[in-house]
Amino acid sequence: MDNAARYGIRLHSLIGGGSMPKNFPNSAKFASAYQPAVNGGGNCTIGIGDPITGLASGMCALADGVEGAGGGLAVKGIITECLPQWSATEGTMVMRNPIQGGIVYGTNLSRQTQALYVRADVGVWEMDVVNASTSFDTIAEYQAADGANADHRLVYDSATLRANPKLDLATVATTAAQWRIQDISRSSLNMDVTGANFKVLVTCFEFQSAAI
Amino acid sequence: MSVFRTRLWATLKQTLDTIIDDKLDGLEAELVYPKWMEKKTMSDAYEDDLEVAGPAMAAEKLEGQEMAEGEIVQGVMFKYIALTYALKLTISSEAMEDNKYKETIALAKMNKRAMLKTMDVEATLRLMRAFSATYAYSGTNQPLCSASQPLPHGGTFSNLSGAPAAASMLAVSAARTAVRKYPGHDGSIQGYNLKRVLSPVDQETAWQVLLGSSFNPVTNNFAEINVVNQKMDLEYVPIKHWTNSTTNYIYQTDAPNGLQFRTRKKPTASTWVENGQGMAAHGITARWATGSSEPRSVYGVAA
Repeated sequence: MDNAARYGIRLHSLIGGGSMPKNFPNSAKFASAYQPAVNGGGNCTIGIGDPITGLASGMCALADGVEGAGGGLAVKGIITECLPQWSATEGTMVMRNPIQGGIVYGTNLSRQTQALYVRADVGVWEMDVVNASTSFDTIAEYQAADGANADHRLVYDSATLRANPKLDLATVATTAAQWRIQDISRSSLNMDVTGANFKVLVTCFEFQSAAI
Repeated sequence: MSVFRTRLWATLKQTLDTIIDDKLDGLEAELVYPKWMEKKTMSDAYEDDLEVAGPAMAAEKLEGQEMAEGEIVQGVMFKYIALTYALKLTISSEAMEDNKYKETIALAKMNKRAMLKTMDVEATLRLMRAFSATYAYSGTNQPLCSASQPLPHGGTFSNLSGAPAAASMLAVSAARTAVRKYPGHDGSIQGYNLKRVLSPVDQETAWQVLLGSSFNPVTNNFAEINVVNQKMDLEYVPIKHWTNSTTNYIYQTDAPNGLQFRTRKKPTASTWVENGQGMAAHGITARWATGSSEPRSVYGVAA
C-alpha cells in the first residue's frame, strides 16, 4: 500500500538545536517574468517546500534535481513562506502559495516576487522518495543507504503545476550529490516500505556555499 | 513546516462559507485498538513479563519407590520498553493574528488527532508484523504468529495455521481444534477457546456473513447449522489500519496476557513561544509500548 504523500522538502529539525525554523534574513528574490520549469515536464509554480538555488544575478530559481539539463544544482534553501506577489489581473499584490510563474514586475521593486526560506544546511529535512527499483523495498536496504548521497528529482505534477521534489533513490551513490541520506523517517506515516511515498531524513550535501 | 500566512492564504479575509477538514473532536471513541488490545499503564521505563513453567504431570510411583522429581523452569522474558512519540506545529504570530477562521489553525486539536491516530496505527503494526521474522520478539526470536514458538521445557508449538484458508466454517473449525490443543507453559495440552477475529477491513463482509448466518446449507442437508454462529461466541473486529495484507487474519483466544497497549504517559500537550522570532509552538508527546506476552493468545492465518 502507498504511504500518504507529503509535498516537498519538509524541515524535520534544526541541526544546531532550537524548536523554531529560522527563516534566513535575506529573502529569496525571483527575476521579473521568471518562469520556473521542470526539465522534461513543463512550466510550474514555486512555493513552500520547493528547493531554490542562487543565481549570479542575485536572483533565485527553482533548484533542478537530477532531471535538470545540468543535473542537480547546489541547494541554497527551502521555501517556507511566499511573500505577496504582483497580480496584473487584479491590479494589486496578492497573497498566495505557490508563487505563479511568468509574473512581470519590470523594475518596480514594490511588485518584486519574493519568498522566505530556511537555509538548506541548517536543517534535517524529510522527503518522500521516488523509488523505481526493487533495490529499496526492505528496511535493511534503506539502512544500507544511510550515509550515502542522492539527488532530488522534480516529479512534475501537471495537475497542480507543482515541481514536486522527491528524493531519487536511483541516484544513491557515494559520489557528490545534493543530499546526504541520514535515516528512515520515524513518522508513523511510513507504514509500508514497499509502497510509494516512503519518507527519509536527509541533510544537504551540495549546499550552495560558494560565492556566485 | 511552520504555518506562515500564505500556507493558509485563503483564510486571511472573511470570504469562506465552509471549512472542510477531518473531525477533530470525540476521536477517542473511534479508536479501534481498545477493542482488541488490553489497555494497561506503565510505571517504569521498561517492564518485564516472565514466563514460568511447572512440571505438568505426576508419575506413577511403585510400592516403596521414591517420588519422581518435578521441575520448574523459567521461560521467555517479554520486555516492554516505552517509546516516545511527539509532534509539534509551529505558527507565526502574524498567521495567528491575521487568520479569520480559527478552526483552520486549531493546532492543539490537530496535534491530538495526529497522536490518537498514531496510537491506532502503531498498535496495528503488531498485527501487520505478526507473520514477519524481521519483527520477531526479542525473547522468543519468533514473530507473534509462528510455527516454532518456544516452550520452557524444550520443544516448540505452533500458533500459525499450517493450512491457511479464507473465512469459512471449516477454517474456523480447524482453528478451534488447533487452539483447543495448545500446550500450556508446562508443555502439555492446556487448551483455550477462540474469542475474537481480527482482520483487515477487506474481509469484513465475509466475516459478517460467516458469523451472522444461522445455517450452512449443504447438499442433502439444507438445515445444517453454522457452528461458527450457533456454537461459538466469536467477536469480530475489522482493523482499518491493517493495510499490508487483504487476506491475513488472526484469532484471539481467551489466554490471558496477550496483545496489550501499555501507556507510560498519556498524550500531553505543551505550548511555548519564541518571542525573538514571533513564533508559537503547540507540542504533544506520549509514551507507550505495545506487545504480547502470550503466543497462546493468538492463532494466525497467513492466507
